[in-house]
Amino acid sequence: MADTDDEMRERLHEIWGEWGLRTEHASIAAQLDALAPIHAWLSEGDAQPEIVIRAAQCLLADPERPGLNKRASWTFVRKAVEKHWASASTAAESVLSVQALLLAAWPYDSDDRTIVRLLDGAWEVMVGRERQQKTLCQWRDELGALEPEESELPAEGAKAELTLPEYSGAIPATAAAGLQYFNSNQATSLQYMQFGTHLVQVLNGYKASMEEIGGVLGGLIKGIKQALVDQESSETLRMQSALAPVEGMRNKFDLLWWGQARYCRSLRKPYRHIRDAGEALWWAAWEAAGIARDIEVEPAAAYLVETLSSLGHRPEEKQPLGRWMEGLHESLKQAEGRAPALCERLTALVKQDALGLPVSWVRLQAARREPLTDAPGAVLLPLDAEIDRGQWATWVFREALLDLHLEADE
Amino acid sequence: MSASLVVTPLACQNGDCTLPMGGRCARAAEFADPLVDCPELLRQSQAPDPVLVNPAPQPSELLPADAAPWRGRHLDAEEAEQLLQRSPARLIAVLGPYNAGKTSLLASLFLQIANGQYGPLPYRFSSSRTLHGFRELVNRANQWSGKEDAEIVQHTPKEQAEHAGHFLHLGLRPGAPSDDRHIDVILSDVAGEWVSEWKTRADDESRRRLSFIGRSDGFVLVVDAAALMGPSGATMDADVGILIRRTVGEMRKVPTTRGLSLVFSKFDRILDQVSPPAVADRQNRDAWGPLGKRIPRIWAALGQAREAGLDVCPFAVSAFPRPLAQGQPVGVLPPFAHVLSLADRRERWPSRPVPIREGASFFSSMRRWGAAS
Repeated sequence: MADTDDEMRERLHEIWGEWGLRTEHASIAAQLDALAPIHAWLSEGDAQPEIVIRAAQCLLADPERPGLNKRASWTFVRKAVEKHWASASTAAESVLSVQALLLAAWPYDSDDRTIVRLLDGAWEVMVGRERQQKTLCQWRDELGALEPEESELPAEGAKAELTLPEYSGAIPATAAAGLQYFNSNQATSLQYMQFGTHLVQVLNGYKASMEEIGGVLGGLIKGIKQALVDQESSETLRMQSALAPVEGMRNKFDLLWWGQARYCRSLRKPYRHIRDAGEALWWAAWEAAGIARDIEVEPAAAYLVETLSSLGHRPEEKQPLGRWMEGLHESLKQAEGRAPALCERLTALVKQDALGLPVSWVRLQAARREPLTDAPGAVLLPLDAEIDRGQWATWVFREALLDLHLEADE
Repeated sequence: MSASLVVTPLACQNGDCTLPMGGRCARAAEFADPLVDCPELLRQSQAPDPVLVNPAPQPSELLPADAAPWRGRHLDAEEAEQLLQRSPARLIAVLGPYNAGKTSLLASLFLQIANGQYGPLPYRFSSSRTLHGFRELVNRANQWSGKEDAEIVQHTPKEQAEHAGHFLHLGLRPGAPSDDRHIDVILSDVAGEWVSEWKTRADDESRRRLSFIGRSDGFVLVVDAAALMGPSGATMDADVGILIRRTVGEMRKVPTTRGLSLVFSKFDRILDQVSPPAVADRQNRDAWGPLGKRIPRIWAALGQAREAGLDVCPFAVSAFPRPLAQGQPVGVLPPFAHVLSLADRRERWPSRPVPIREGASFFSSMRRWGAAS
């Protein structure tokens, strides 16, 4: 996608054409000149997620909704690049042309993909905007495309001559314990009445193995990281990058185990004992997000939905977005002090403008014991759009992840 | 101020006042003659003139700083472009030969929706940047005596004056209470001669004048039903057939479906010969009786338009069946409702496909919930 000056210019011309704007406009040269500074500003989003969030909110906004140019997302973006837009003859109400500039100048090679993906829920309820749909879907899909595959091993030729610390933990010996038991009692294992007992023993062995593996991995990572402290050679960096997938693997183990156990640590009871489906959905999404911070979003979200399904919650059950928001609001109010608060950065963002962030806005309202009466104007989404429980669960999960990402950056 | 002088209102400091634009004084109830008495009105005294309200070019220093950046008359291409930069305005091309009744149709449309008569149109009137343009049309129509040979509204001039406007604007709000959008609708109001030149010659100048056709979100093609039934009906049939084909040619560049409403205007004049068909039969040529027999080329062109992906529907319309005070327009809203229903579709967007890397682990190969595999 567009990143060089020429590519951005070509892209802007394409967008103008698709959106029905004139391409021989008097201010064309100035608008083209504004692309590079806007691109540079958007690239700062790698370090400042607020830039990415606000710019993405500007793109999410339907230009036909009233009062758009008075929203915080709009004024934030506009203020940052005002002098370039002013010279580009884009008036305060030129929402469409500014959206075109943002899209054409978006830095597709930056690391902000994750943040943009966490706003995916809003695109799922997007309706109309026919002229803009193709371009915006391209932008959305491009940012959601595969990133270059990370090598799980240090690059060839890298000779890591680090002395790893000795790890005193035992090599997991119970990994095959359950199966050994099963094999040694084959005669009775084949009898139906005995089978359940043996299976429980197998699973217990499996659980113990997993915990030991997790412990070994955790200790290993910690030890290696410690050994790498103060070493800034390229070899060290390669080693550190090689550790990331190992950490991700551990998160996957944790998530898989969480999904099998179906135990809510926050409420200290099994999920099946949580009678309210909305409450179970919220806690499951929140806990899964806490575990899945460093792994791929979509598989983790899909696993969350399957976990809810295994609890008997029908993922295909549909209701309007507004109803899902009301349900979450009720659940959070009932949870009172146990519900985690939004991190400070997300609170500041949502307080000013919650466009496209219904979950975070509901969390904020519940924490403040405020009603949802302003929901249509606050989140600027079609609240009557029907989505199913699976979609809503992944939406809650993504915004919980956004909260945790911003909190980690604080 | 002497009441004997005729005055021209320039601007008003009251934000709710529309008197300078030809509208109503916000404090009308307080004064017998707001034009003379209202203290908030900036005015210019002048020699007696039969037209009191005259928004002629105004000295800019007398305008308040936040004066509206539009003149109230027809929009020119630059002003239309400014609107397009604000939102994806729906541009409806109203086309037809000279004297087909395009401008009368637009005047009648405005009268109906400004009066709250929405009929099948799922929108309500919200604003207009060309209120004065509409008002001029309506004033003229109001003076029509009912004689068939008299002009109902002034013909759109074919001369190209500097900054001449050729677009009318309507701001509409959807009827659904949950939908609070403000939709800008731009309606072309160009001279029939321009349309004819574009249809036949298509030189650079005529293409430039009608360059908005390629950007249009819908088409209202107006053809005089009475003329079709008259002695020159065959020529009219051929001309309009070519116009439809030219329009279809422009639309081949647009991937999405657009609406084309074919308006048989002045239908009241042929009611003794043709009965308008029922809604369900509109697409059936035979249902149009003798009129259907007179339009073989138009009907063939409509077939081509359908094949090209346009959603075509013919309508019988009488924009001004009688003088304004004596009768209501018939069938004005359905052609616009048809075109807007396609120009403002509210379909859900597709979900983002979740790509899977070649040889991905089982975990990584799990897709998004609900996404098609």
